[in-house]
Amino acid sequence: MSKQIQLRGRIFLEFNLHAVSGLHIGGSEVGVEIGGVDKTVIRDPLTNRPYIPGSSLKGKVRSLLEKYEGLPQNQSIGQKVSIHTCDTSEKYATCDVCQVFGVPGERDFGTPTRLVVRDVQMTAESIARLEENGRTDLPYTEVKTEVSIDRVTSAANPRQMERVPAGTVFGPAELVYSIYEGDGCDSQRDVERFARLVEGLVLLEDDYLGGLGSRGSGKVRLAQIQVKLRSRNELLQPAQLLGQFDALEQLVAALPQLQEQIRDQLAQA
Amino acid sequence: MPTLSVYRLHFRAGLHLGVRGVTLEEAAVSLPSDTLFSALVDAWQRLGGPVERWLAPFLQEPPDPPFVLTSAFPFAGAVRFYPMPVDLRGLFAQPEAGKRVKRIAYLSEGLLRRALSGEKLDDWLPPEGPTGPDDPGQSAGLLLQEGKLWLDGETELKQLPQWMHVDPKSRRPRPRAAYPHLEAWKEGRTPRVTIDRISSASNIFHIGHVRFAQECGLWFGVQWRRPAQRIEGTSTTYAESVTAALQFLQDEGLGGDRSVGYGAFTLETGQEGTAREAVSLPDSSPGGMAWLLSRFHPRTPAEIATLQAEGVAYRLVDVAGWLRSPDGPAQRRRRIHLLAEGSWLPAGETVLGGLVDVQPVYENQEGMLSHPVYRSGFGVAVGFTQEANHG
Repeated sequence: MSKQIQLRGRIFLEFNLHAVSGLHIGGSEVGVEIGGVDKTVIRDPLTNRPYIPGSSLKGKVRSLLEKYEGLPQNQSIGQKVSIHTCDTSEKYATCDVCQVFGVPGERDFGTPTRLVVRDVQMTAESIARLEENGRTDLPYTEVKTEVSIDRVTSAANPRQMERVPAGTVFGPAELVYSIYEGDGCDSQRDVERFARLVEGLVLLEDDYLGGLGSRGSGKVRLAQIQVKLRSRNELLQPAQLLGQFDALEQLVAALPQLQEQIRDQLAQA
Repeated sequence: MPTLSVYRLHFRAGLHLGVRGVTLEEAAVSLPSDTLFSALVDAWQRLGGPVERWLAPFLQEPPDPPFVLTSAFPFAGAVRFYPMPVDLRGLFAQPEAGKRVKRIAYLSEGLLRRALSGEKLDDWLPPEGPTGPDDPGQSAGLLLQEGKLWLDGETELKQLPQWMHVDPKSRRPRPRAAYPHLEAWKEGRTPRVTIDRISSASNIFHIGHVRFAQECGLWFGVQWRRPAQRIEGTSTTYAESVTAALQFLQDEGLGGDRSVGYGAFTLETGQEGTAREAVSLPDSSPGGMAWLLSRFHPRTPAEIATLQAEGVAYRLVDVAGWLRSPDGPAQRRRRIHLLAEGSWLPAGETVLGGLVDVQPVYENQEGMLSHPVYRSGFGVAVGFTQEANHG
């Protein structure tokens, strides 16, 4: 008999992401022009605007949660890099990070990855502001020169980093969190696990997004947070708004009540 | 008269469709019919629907599918594109036209209708080389996307998105010579990196993707044979199940790398999630040719025999890749060959095809999945009234 699972519903967590300090998410360094910057940021190839890839957001939050939970770094990727992924179904059953963020396809006990993180584009206001003030060094970005100085001779080695200026807003970010019931999936546990994702976002605000983070870049703040739910019997309706929050602290405070609401809605579906 | 319910997909971010499963760095712009069918089956399974029952009419002997799918092709504004035929000789009176059309991958619906009615399309070919803005010998046709898309430069030009007509920066209408360089989509490679949690060592890799411009995307057609048929043992109709599966897929995404936002789309729908528009295309008359709008896997001896007929032109694609099942680890599917979109076959009841089981077979039975894995080879074709000209 083949396994059976069923989607019970989806939580949509939407928010705007404010770059409190300059943001550097590296892009490809092909086609570097003479006199160009050394480290470029990633841009949408059609609009040429910087954006925040879903993979950066998802990878960073996963990485922070793995360290927060103290998970073993057992999966080697490339030569020097390891990350955590569960390798037995017993461990997987109790590992929130792997259930929410996914395991490699070759695991035969894997259930659907609960979390989908979308790319986040700049808001229309930020685009207009950066286009109109005309003070950016490159379209939508600043060029920040960094320099390392020899401790003895004071010889300088300058290099140029491209950053999206502080104050830029990206949004709305969309995190889609699916809730399943069936073989290897428990919808009650999925609703509980949603708290892990919110914890990860708290860790992200304290940490940084993108590169150059230990020297000032990448501080982000979540604002205009909305939590929506679409249960399985409302597939054709727009997702229902459960709560709006100005800041992450408010979402954290309201989380137990939100989870209760979600359980009630899913029970009726 | 094949009538297709049209579904237009606006992709919210990039789309990553692996090509031949070699590297992550390649991505295709097409979304073939077999991929779409598998996505519908997977979505239905995750919604908790009974898959075996859902597949029953597709698997019975002879197959009697409630619907068949075309592959997905590009659209720009209101202009829908279709695959260029494998054999170009039927489209043009001048055989040497073949040289100029090598780059064209898709032609518009207007040109397709003209071709289907037997008109030769030589006059619609834009001249080679740059032309002045007031060139008297200007052709009626127009190219976009560096020559990959071909459309009628008069009526269909007006149906393109506004940003294609008027340069948003200078607010001036674009000269005709600028159109071939406008892009409805852009293929790119995104660098990505995995960072070690402890040492911060980095491991870089690249993902290929396709991004679509505003008001551009992919569309596909559903040819309904019996939308009101109920899935065996349930009160759900096939029309309802397809609508539900497509709603599910909007947030789930199509193609690869979905958990980081690739492949999610917004569907243009009317009431209750159904298709908003339909297009009727000519049927093939007996003795005419059929122009494939989907991939196709001939199943019966009669279908296979048609490949030998006069005027047939087809291209084969080999379809391999990964399968995903809740019952086992991800693994490679068996490789099959399908006829590609744009192939020409003799018209008639012979373009139906069927599902092909691509479940991997191992010597050690223990590693086998507990269920078959089907790939759709059902064909959709439109009629071409004239004899293919092999002069």
